[in-house]
Amino acid sequence: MLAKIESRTVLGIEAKKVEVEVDMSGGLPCFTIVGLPDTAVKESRDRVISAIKNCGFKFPPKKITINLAPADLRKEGASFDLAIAMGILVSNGDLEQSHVDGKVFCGELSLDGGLRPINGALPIAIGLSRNGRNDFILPAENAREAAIVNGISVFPAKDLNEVVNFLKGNAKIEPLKISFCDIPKPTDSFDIDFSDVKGQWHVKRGLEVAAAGGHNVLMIGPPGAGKTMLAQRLVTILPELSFEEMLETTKIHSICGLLNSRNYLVLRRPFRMPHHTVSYAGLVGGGKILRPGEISLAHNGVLFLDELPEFHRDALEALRQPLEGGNITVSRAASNFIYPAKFMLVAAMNPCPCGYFTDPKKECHCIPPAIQRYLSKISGPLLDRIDIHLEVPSLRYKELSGKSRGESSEVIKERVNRAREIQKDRYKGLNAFCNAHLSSKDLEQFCRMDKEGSELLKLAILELGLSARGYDKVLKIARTIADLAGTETISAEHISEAINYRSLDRNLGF
Amino acid sequence: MGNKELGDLGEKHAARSLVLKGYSLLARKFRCRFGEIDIIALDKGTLVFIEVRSRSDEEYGLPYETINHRKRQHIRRVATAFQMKYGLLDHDSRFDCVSVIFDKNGNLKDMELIKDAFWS
Repeated sequence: MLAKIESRTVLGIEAKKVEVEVDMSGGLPCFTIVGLPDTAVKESRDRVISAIKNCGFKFPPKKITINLAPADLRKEGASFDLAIAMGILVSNGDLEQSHVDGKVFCGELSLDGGLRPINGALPIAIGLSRNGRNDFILPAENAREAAIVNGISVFPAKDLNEVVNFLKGNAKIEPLKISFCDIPKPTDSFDIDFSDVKGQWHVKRGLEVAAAGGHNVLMIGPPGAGKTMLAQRLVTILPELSFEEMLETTKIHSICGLLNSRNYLVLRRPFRMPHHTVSYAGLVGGGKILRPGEISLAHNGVLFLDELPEFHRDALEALRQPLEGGNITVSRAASNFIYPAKFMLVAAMNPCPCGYFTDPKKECHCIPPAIQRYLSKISGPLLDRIDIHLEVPSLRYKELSGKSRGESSEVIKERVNRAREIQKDRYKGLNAFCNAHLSSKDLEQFCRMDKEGSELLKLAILELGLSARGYDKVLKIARTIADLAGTETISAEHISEAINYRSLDRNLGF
Repeated sequence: MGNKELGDLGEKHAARSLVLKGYSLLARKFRCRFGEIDIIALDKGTLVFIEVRSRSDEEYGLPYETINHRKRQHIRRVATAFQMKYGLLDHDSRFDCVSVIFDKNGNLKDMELIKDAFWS
């Protein structure tokens, strides 16, 4: 007898329909899965057989053929187990086809019939609600992330028996629904705060400007100056995620299986800090089994690359396109996938291999070619995409022992929020949503300087040798600084602060 | 007692116990050019191909442990040949295994029927 069960798989970040057809007939007993299954799918045979037997159903020796349609799509992962088991139970007569019609099944089975969580429940739920399908049966562990989506009924199940009893009408499963107001508000209390960092006033200010305008930042300084500490605190002053942004980011975290039943929604901007040995595929996405990379996991958040020159060259160069476009296209012979990757890049590095090149007290013992080699690991085009350069000097004893704590994250965040609001109003209907994303054409329209300001900028170009690109960058940063100050025209003080943030245009011999 | 005799004796014991269990025997030692199946029987309408494995107590291990992948493939081929010969290709079928253990003196010590022993 033939049975048809509907399931879903995730392709890129979208859900794709997969129909599981199960045919049972006489003949020598055998169990075949067709439809380009990978090893995890092929192995579902043993999981399904054991699960069905251990749930008290018969598993007759028959010739069983399972087809996963569409046949040309490569099927990965164990999430078809539940659908296959349902198909076998229907063909076997334990269930009727009418019981399973119009429902979508996803879940991995364990040998005792329990349902294990799957990856990508959220994108599947979003896909279902878009197509107007509404009954989604999935493992209880995943239910919460899927229940956020409107327009579908999510039925969480713990094991195979529960599903069968539910379908037969013997037992009830309450559809889980998480409405907008049930979503836990992100508590304001981060366990880290900007006031933890002593001194480094101008770096804090620089990070504030970066957060306000969405600029990428590069911090240069000797070891132990506090670069990492400062970067980690950047997320505490970024504006809150909107609900749409939460969904976007959660979608990617769902595909990577980083969620659980307690943390089913990414409430805060993600802070990703990959180690410098990260591979090219690990950073931008890809691999044999396609997976979003660190930059996509940092979507709507911060990607922090500590010890920037130590990263693999190809991994760093792969960042160029996503930094520009806000997404990454991973191309394969068969198809290509677009992962979103709209993140703020924060990088930290030492000025030379030993780390003390710019330090006023400690002597640097690197030979010039070594410094050159170290710095040349970062290519011009990559550096070009980083707006703000901050020098982080080592702390003096007075600052270190001082009592003054500086502003708390909350205070800074308020200013950042205000600056972002101004930008949002100004760029309504434009592609950009913050200053860092302005095109040079828009620059002219939105970045009006007063007379003194343009005089100063002219002087800077002539004296400091700023390039045309540097000119654009200074303007953008100055725009953000003016927004923080709440003024419409850019004046000389904004320009001069902005020039300060372009230190690499001036020295260090880049 | 030689291995051949041991096997034949084991098969005899197995056949008797299968009949007692309600199987109706169709063939003993069905031979074709692919090999041989010890017993073919019908159990409640299901065609059953039975492999009998005998061992004397002195040998190590259990009898059915000796049915490896190659042996299974053999049995599968012969089973298909049988089905072809009698037009039973889409008849419900199954592979069973009987393991028979003798003691030192050639007396039956233990016998076990494993239903649905393997899938092709």
